[in-house]
Amino acid sequence: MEIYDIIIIAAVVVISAVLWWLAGYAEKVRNSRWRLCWLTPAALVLVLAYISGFERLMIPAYIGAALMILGLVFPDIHTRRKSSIAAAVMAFISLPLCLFNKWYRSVDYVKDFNTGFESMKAHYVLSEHKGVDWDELYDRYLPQFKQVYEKQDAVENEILWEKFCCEFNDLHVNYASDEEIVDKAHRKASGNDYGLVIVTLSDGRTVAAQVDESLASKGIHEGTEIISWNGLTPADADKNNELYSITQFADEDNRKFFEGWFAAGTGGDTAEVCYMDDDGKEQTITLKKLEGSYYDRYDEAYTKVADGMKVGHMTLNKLNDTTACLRIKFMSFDSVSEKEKHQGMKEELRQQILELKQQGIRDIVIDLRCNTGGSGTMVKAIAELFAPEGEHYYVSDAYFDRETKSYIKETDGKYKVHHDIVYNGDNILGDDGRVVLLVSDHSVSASDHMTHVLNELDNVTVMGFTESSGSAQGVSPIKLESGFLSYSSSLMLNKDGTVFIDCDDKMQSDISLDIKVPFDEKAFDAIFKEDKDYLMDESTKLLENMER
Amino acid sequence: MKNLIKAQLYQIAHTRVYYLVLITFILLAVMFGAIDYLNGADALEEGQLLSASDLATRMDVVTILSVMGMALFASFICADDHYDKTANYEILSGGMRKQSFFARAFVSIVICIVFSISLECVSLITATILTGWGDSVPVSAVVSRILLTAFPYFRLACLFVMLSYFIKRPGITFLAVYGLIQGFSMIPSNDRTGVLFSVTTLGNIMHYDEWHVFGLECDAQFIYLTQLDGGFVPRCIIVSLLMGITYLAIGYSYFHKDDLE
Repeated sequence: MEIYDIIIIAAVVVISAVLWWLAGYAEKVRNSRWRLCWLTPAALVLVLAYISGFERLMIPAYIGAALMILGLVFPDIHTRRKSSIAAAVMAFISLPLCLFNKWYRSVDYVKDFNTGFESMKAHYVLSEHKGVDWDELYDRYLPQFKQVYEKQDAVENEILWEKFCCEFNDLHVNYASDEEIVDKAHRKASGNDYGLVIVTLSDGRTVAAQVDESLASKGIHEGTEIISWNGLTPADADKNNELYSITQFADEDNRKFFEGWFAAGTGGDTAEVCYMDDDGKEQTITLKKLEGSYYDRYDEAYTKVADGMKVGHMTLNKLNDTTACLRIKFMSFDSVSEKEKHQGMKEELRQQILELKQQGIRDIVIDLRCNTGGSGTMVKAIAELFAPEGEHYYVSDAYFDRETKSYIKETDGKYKVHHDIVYNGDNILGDDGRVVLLVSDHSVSASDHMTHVLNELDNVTVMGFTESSGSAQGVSPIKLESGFLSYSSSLMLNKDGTVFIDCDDKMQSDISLDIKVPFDEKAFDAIFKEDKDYLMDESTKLLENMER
Repeated sequence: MKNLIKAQLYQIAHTRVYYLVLITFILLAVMFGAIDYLNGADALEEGQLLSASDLATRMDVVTILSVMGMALFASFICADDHYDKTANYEILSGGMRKQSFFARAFVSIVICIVFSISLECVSLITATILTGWGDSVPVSAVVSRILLTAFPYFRLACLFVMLSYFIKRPGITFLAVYGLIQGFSMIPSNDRTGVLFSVTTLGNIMHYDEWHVFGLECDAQFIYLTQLDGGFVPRCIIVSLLMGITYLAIGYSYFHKDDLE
């Protein structure tokens, strides 16, 4: 029970006892001011209900507090004492009602879904671009939200919202309640831990990664080829894992990269795995589930493959004599920078790079892996520093018509452009300097912008195992009773009025890599056996051997 | 009772301090209506111009002014006659307590509601004269919301009347009721019904849900939703009327058996 409701019940009982006694005392000391005491419980309950919120199951306690007003209206000892007893009884009635009823402080998940859905349907700017069938989505999800409401299960609600968000293939469509529930939801959805994650190499083989030591005796170690999981190929087994249906991929190529990653969380108390042993023979064994959920193991493997350098945000770190890494974890710097369009940050960064240049640094690796996005003006400021001299195009703001309250389309079906945004390059690295941009599937939003913008430049090479996310529109959140829903609400365009970057209904974005690093055996061994940052090593090698 | 109401109105019409208070509040409301204009709202880029309809979406300051004025009017109209014993003489000379109470309550409530709604209108009219109405929200939506505020204002006026009859000292009553309202507005509320307290009800009526769009180099454009949540309006009316009547009943019940000094 919530503390304020306990206080209300306790307060009504205690005050009713005090007023029961006071009823006798007030008879002896005749003064009309004493009557005001019989307003105390109602006033107190009103304040507490105002703070904690109205609760239907607390109505008996509220009525109890209100009943004591009778002591003011009818100031005789009998009425006052009867009202005190009645108030205490009513307050006590609330106690079991609240303790043993699932509807106590219940959340209307159906109303939340309707609110979120209606808001998205009205304002989601990529409906046409992604071919969203709103009616079909509503018909499919409403009954499921009704079930969640009946169960009053916050974790199931989180899982269902995340599934709904995944329908849009847009990493800007997100739902989150509180951190604890999100964590519980991911653990519940991910299934059991059997001691390994299955990853797919670029040659199509599926191998064991992040393997638990206990599997060594069974012949499974890092890199052991996994043929099937519970009789299914890892790609097919993925679909039995709920984590698969709540993990967002905007781009089909990125989804393909993570094929098989969810398989090893599926199964009951045991799972049957068929693998190729070190002698090249197929073996089938049964694995028992271990303690804990699959999510931790999956997350550790994911971090090794997709996350960036573990150094501070916006720090420059020397990789070798000629190369330094600029780690950007998110596209924001400080509260002042946004107001002055990150010009102060740009100057600070310029000074740091010039100092490094004096120490012999020639090239920069910009590490955008798992960058969660942020400000477009920061993208512009950084692009200005590294771009060759001259004017470069960034993006176009869409024309929003205030009268129709919508973005306007031209007769050719493309959106009307408000104006183009351009920037001038400073070429801080000079003609010999080169930039490598590292991205991963969770380089989202403003880091998608940066990937797209820098990819156009001759002195920049974009590298990664996967493309960046492919989700680049402006985002707005709405508050629901159970959490926050955010979605793409503000349109960004290419010069010709087509949608900037975002994946279409075929799950293909405008993002492309200059070098798609194969996730092969060599990469796998470096990451999982030698604990190396393979992409970073590849980028420095590339810069060392680059023709200038 | 009709005569008592007339007497109250006569007394108010011939008390200079009420005029001073009224003029002060009207000036404050005019100032609030003109504040965007004085800050150069008409010199902004097209699409960013602030107009009266933008002001209508953030009228919270005017409601604070209104509540302050209501506290003052209600406490002086109801409590001052007890302080200088006019109410006692009225009863000693054969007047009924019921008439004494309800005449003052009626006058207080009517004046409070008219005063509060007028204050909101003054701000908006000032802003309209200086900057034009604009297109953020239509006039009809603002008018209907302002009319709806009559209900929480009624409830609030009834509360002030009740407290005035408890305290019977106009100055102390004003400080107490205004302090109470301000105190409440500082407490974070988790009230999902939106009508548990009159000040939050007022806030909900004057709050327009919005969504906005933005560009990289375009300022955000706010689009206000004029519809109130379907259930909120009847909830607001019913709860305001019930609570108001309850406050009056409690106030009268107390006064009915009160020892007059």
